[in-house]
Amino acid sequence: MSKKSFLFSIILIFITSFVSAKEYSPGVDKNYPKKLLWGDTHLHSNESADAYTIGNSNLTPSDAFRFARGEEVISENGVRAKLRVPLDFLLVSDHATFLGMFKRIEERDPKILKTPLGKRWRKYMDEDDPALFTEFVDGLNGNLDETFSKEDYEPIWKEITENVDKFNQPGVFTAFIGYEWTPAPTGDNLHRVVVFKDDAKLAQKIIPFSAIDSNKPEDLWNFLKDYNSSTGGEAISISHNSNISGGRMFPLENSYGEPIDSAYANMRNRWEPLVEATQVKGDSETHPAISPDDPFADYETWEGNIGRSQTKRLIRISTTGDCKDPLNYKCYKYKEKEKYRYKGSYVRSGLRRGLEIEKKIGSNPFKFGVIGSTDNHTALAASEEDNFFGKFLDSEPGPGRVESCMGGCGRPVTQADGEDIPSGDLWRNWQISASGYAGVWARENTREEIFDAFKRKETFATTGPRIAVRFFGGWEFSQDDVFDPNFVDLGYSKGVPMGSDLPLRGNKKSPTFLIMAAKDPNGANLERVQIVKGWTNKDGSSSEKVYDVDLSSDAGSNTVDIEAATYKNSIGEAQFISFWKDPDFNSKEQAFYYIRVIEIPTPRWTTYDSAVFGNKLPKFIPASHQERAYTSPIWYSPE
Amino acid sequence: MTKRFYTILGVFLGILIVLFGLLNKKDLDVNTIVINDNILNNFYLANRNLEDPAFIQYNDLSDIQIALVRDDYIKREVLKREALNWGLDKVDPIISSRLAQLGEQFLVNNLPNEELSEVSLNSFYNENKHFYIDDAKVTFSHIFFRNSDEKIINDLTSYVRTQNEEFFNNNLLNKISVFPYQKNYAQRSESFIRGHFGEKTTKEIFALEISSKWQGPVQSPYGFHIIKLTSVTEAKQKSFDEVSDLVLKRFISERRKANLKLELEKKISSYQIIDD
Repeated sequence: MSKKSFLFSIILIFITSFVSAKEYSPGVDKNYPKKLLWGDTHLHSNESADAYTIGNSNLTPSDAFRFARGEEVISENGVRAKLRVPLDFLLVSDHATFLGMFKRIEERDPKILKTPLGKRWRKYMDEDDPALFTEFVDGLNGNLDETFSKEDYEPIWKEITENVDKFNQPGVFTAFIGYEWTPAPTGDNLHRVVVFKDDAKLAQKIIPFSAIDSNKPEDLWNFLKDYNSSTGGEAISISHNSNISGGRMFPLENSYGEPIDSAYANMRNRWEPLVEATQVKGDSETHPAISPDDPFADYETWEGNIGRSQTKRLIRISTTGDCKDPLNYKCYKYKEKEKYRYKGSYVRSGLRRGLEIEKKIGSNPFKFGVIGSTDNHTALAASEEDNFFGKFLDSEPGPGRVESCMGGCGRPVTQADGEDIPSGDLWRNWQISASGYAGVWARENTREEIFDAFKRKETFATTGPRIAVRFFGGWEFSQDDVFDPNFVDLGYSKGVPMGSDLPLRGNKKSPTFLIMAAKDPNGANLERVQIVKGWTNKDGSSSEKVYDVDLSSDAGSNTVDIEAATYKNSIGEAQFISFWKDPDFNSKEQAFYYIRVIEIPTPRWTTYDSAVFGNKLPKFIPASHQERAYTSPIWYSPE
Repeated sequence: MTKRFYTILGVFLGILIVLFGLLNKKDLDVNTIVINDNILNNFYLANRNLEDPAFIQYNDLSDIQIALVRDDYIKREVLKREALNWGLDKVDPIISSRLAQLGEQFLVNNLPNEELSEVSLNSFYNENKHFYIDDAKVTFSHIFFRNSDEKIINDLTSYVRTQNEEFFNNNLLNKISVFPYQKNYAQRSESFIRGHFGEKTTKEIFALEISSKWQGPVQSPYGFHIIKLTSVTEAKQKSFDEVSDLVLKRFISERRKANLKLELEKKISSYQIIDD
């Protein structure tokens, strides 16, 4: 060995030993997402056409941000409103269709009144012409030929986005720019919220893509792709209310009737990483028709589609007793030949369908994470049961809101679609759900960090309570890990967090999981932690099973005092830290796993209303319920 | 005498005519359609596309065109009045809601203008000072122990009293547990801490003394904590100058709502409400 080579070897050994040594400082290389941030990515203000016309003509996006960051505001119906604990981020997602137009027509904005549609609608307003409402709904559904031009929207979008920037305070409160894309072909909800990572300057390079531009999700994703490639900015979509999509949210075919292929799967996964699993118009986790063995499946379920049209698909299971009210959704179900629609309408069945397609074509089009949000049209992101400000003005707190209907009771009844079920009134307001919020594990409270968490699906949904959940999957976790105070470091170093694929299996027999669930510090204790597993079978079908991972010793008890609308934390647990190993694992089949955390029973918002406003509740409204959290899944694919 | 008689008769007849007119006003309104150029012009403008290059001003229309506008107007008026006659406005909830909305808007538009003075704004600020407070903030670290061991509270109390590291290492080190949120909090507001520890525990944390020693144990909804509190910044009242824009906005909005409420109550009191 030459002198030169010898010296080189010494230096190399020195460098190698230095690099491979364990770091002295424990924080080094552990830049994991450690902050749990709470937010709402789906809220409407008076810039939304429907919010404005149905009553919220006063509360602006600014009011929405102020309320979310903890300030007191006055609701449209004059009630003082404040969150117990502020949120960390908010997206005011007003409808792209007619964004800000009604407000400006009402205020006689000369630029808008110069447009043919603005002029016509002003005339309808002056003459109380109901054609206004008809045309507006047609527009929302993408059925109105005429519309406003991009030039008409430009100053509005500029004003809205610049206002959002004013409320964005990196490290303290994140205000996202975004909007809602709102198509509902044949009354089936295909709505998506669009979230921008960027500031106003970049977002202003486009005008929101609306349902009038196209009602096909593929076109929306292409629009997001074009925005990315032409500006360098980034935006994603989040679907919502799959429960009232008539089976079209997680379809077997694309919008052109062709079977789903890898190109569709790649596109959908890239531009739509998240699904809003729970919100004011019901819960989309699962349905008893899909999950008959799951006793917790029937939570805030709705039947039919968003427009209450296509009622010919449904049968009314009874017209007596609790079902006398034609607006009681619990009294309908899909007819036998329409039952296939359930599978395309729920998160769990969507995830299962994704596995089935992956087994068939090699790509999973429904590899999404979950969040919860409100979809309130009151500018108030309130989803606590005893601090609930409803969906529209008619469901804001006050006596009688339980019996009222969305947009007013007594709309003309249409029999066009139904056989014997009237459509017209949309829903009775007792049916709306005080739900939900998005939990996000992020490094910092900034647009960039939260947006990245959305993309990697390190998110979970709750129906309102701020239940904290950690979920890690891997092949080497053990029971001892749950006692390690560095649980989170362990989770990331030995496995992957929620929203990920399991690492390579090697010769390991069964996947292992670490779970931490903690109660809302200002809310109810927890009753149980469950793992929901879905997997494919040899014949290409799929199955599901719910495992109780941890259970409080008094699970099944109920302390709710209905008259006083109270509960006691004398039952349940404050926190569960659990280890679970899949006892039924088959390495040859695709699988997903997600966590569901269930609270002890607490009063539903209608029960609190009853105690506060003295309403007498019909028996069919549940007096108590068990709120919950759902995490994004962890997936396994055979190697 | 004759002159006086005719004067009295004239006045009497005049009163009769006016009374007759007043009594039959409704019928006259319902069955009479008054048409003049001004009405037709407004109707024409409201129903034509003003941006249309082929648009012709009303005054430039031919007699035949004016006659067509006239027919359209009459048709619309007759249908509208018949619909009102049949009470269709009362069965259409959209018209009712819209009328109520217009009514409210009308009241709002006709509210008296508020007199804005520095004095009234200042006085409003003083009455609503609680809206303009910067929350109290706290900086601390904590170590968390689950409530699973009956001995834990005694051990924690002993450690806090003695601050003996050896005792901590021997009795408590292996009982440290996972807190769902953070270990360190720097300059965090009361409402933020409430979101992690709950209301009661937050109050206790803010009441601790600033010290380099571990304090507690403090109980939270999850278990027990020992806490090292580095700083507490008290809530700060923002001055009028700092928030004058926000004060002005709130002032106008509150007064507008209050005035609207008053006006509405006045209107409501003029109605007789019958609970049928």
